Amino acid sequence: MTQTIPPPRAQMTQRDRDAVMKVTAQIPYALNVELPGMLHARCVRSPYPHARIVRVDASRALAHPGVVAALTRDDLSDGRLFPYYGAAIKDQPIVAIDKARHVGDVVAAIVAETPDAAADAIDLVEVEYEELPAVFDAVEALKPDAPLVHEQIVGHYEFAAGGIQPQNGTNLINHMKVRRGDVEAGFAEAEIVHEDVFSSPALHHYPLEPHVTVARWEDDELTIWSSTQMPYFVRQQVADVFRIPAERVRVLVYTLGGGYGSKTYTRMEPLAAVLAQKAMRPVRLLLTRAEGFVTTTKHEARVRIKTGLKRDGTITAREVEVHYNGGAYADRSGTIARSGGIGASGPYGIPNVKVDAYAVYTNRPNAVPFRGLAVSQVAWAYERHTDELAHALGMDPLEFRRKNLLRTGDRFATSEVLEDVHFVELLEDAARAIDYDGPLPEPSGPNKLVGRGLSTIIKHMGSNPATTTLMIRLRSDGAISALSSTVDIGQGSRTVLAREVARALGVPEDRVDVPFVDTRSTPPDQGTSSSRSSFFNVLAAHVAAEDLYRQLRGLAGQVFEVPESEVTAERGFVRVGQGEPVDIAALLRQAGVESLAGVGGFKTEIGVDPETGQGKASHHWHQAAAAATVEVDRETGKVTLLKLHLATHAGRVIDRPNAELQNEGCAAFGISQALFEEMLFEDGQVTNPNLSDYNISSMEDFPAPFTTTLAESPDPNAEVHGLGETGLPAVPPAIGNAVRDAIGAAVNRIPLTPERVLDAIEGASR
Amino acid sequence: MTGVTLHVNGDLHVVDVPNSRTLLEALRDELKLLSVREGCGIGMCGACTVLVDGRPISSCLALAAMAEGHEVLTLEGLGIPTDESGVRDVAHLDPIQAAFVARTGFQCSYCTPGILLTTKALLAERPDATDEEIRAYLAGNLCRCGSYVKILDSVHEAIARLAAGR
Repeated sequence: MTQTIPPPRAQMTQRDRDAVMKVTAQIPYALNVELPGMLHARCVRSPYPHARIVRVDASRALAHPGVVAALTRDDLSDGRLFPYYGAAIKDQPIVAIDKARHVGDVVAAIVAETPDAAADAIDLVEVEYEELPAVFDAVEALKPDAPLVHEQIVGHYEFAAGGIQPQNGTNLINHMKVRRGDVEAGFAEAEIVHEDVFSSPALHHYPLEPHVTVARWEDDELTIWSSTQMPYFVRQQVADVFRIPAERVRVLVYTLGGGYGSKTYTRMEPLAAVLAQKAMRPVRLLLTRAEGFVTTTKHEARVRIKTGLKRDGTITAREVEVHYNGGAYADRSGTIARSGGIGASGPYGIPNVKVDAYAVYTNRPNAVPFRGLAVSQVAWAYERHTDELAHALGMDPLEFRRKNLLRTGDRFATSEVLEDVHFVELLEDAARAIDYDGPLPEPSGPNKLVGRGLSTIIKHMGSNPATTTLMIRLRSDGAISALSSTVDIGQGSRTVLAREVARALGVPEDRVDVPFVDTRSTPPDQGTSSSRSSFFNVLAAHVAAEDLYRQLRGLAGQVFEVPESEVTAERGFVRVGQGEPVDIAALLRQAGVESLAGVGGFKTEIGVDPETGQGKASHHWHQAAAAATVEVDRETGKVTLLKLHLATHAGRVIDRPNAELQNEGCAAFGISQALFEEMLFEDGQVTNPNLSDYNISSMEDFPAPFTTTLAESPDPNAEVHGLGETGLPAVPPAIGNAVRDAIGAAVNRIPLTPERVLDAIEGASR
Repeated sequence: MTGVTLHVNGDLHVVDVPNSRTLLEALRDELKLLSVREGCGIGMCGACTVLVDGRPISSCLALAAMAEGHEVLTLEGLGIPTDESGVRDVAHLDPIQAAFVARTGFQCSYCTPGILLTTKALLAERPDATDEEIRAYLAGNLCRCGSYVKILDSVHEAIARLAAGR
């Protein structure tokens, strides 16, 4: 195997080891895995957005030099394999069976000795299609006469998760409702009613490391190396495909070259594993850049939002309707509607709330979790809307927010009472950072317009309810390992794990190492997503440390022949009464015990009523505010960011540089989404599936004065708040509101391209 | 098949690749220099940057044969080589690498080799580069994780370390 993993080096913390491996390119990725005899796979993909498959014939491809095997739907017909997978509804076939449901849907696959041979051979697979009417828009797809992406869902597909209610005979994946108070009465009471429609496009996560999976069968054991955020989920779903126990599937995960949600749940692993079995050799499936764009996207969304106001700025009612475009397969779209719907009315105290959030099948590429999970889309809407309301009232947007923002003890749209609420402080901090109360900066020229904008967002903690298990293994040679299946995707989870386990045990940080994920040795974990890893692992680390010390006290009691109650264990030592402390590893040696493991779990239990959205929706709530100053060129419509501040509530910070990087990364994504990113389609086909036509932010797009705040609790044992995506949803609306302020007209669709900004300027002056 | 003679990190290699192979493919697939990583394949992201005679180029856009007769530097050639197979420690790093470690100028680090090599080229040209010059020079190296603030800090740190070492 080409991928070698350097052994831990004494006297270095996990943080430093990883840092050195990163700047010397010794850090391992699935992309580097090469096995003896490994073959290369390529996919045959549908050119049509919706088509019945009449015939698939791979015989000419199989005759091509270097081709070893082909996979078509014929291989899935004998019932030996379970042919579907999917995060919530198992509706995605390994290769298309009856229909292709989006341009780029996998119809067949080829494995060959070289990547070139595989690439050449896919053109030789003959597929006869019968085109069907297609639907691309989520609102259109819910109309009664819309083409059905899946003819039958309930009673046809297996469900991998509960809590969602798709409807047969429609394209509805899930409908989330929030019903608080009486919105009709609230609107009747209002003196001003204002309604807006906002939209945000499909995006591609574009991790620089593409999706890559290597699969190898040895006898009846399957090993998978994959660039995945969810090793245990992959293990289960792949085992289900082969109808074998999960223990016979081993998943190894190193560092990821970025994920941002694209590597959640199951992606290409089932196909790679089936191909490896068919070819009877190891197979690598590496997606091209264009394939990435049709494999994972962010949910395009349309949000209609209507608010009733008193003239003094009191909000009496809010009604929100959200349509999330889920694409061809359900994936986690049902949860997206749930999470997005719960937060769709924003961080404001509103007595009467009605939210309807729909996740909808269409003939677009699969939409999956994306950094900012479901909240970015609704935050863009409710925070731009907040500024429109302030304008309608003739109130300053900061003052209007201050008046309505939730405070500790207030009730959210779910009617749960919120604790530890910091919206006003975060917003004021952000406003101060851009000198919101001071004079606007002078425009740099006669055709330039300057403006400022603010935003505040609330975000649930993801993956609720959820569990994590962490194991601390002490060996008699003194080595301590923190075993977890959390994946380091760049967020520095290995640093956090080592540091917190060391803290929990009271030992130096350089004594703790964090092995890479291997489902044969690292314990079960739900997955690395939704800003959950640090929160769960930190809590689990303390439970595991307590468990280890409890076992060590018992062992010391046996070795020293005293009752366990006379033994204390802390800071890496056990001690009988007031006697000499004994190093915990020395105790193991004395007892003839090779290793000892403490196990800790942590679980959150919450939930809301599916009909009303009332209940407890999140263990705690993530909070952020952003402020932006922009300059707009009146003639070209180009937006230049002059200042940006992002303030995020962090609770407790474990590693400051890594925590700051999460916040800064959120800003980078936010800037990119506000100004550049948008997947473009023509008849369901992505027309910009490359970094030349799909722009992501560079160093030059960062405003020179870019600042962030991580608001910490004074309590040294405060709960850790996930930072991976918290700040992101606040950034685009702050920039959007600044543009609104500069040009005096609303742009309700992101990205704020020069064309859209110019149209708004011209519309306002007409 | 034709042999391409490449001078990489001070060593001569004869690589048996067709003329159509890119420098990226020759370095990564043939010479197993895994620091050379494709990010877009069209010269937009900078992840596959290597130095050819000290100048940063996108190795995905150059043919391997074009590098014949030139000095190629990949990240593997930076810093002090170690005999052991283990992780290097900070003492075996180039000052630019050490600066990035000191300022945590990375997240997933997929883009880091390209950024380190581009920084090396920049600081060879402009040992006291300003903020604006750094941003312009590194604008072609995308970091999708968005570590730009700390990359900028790291380059300034490298400038200081190199100045102190002179």
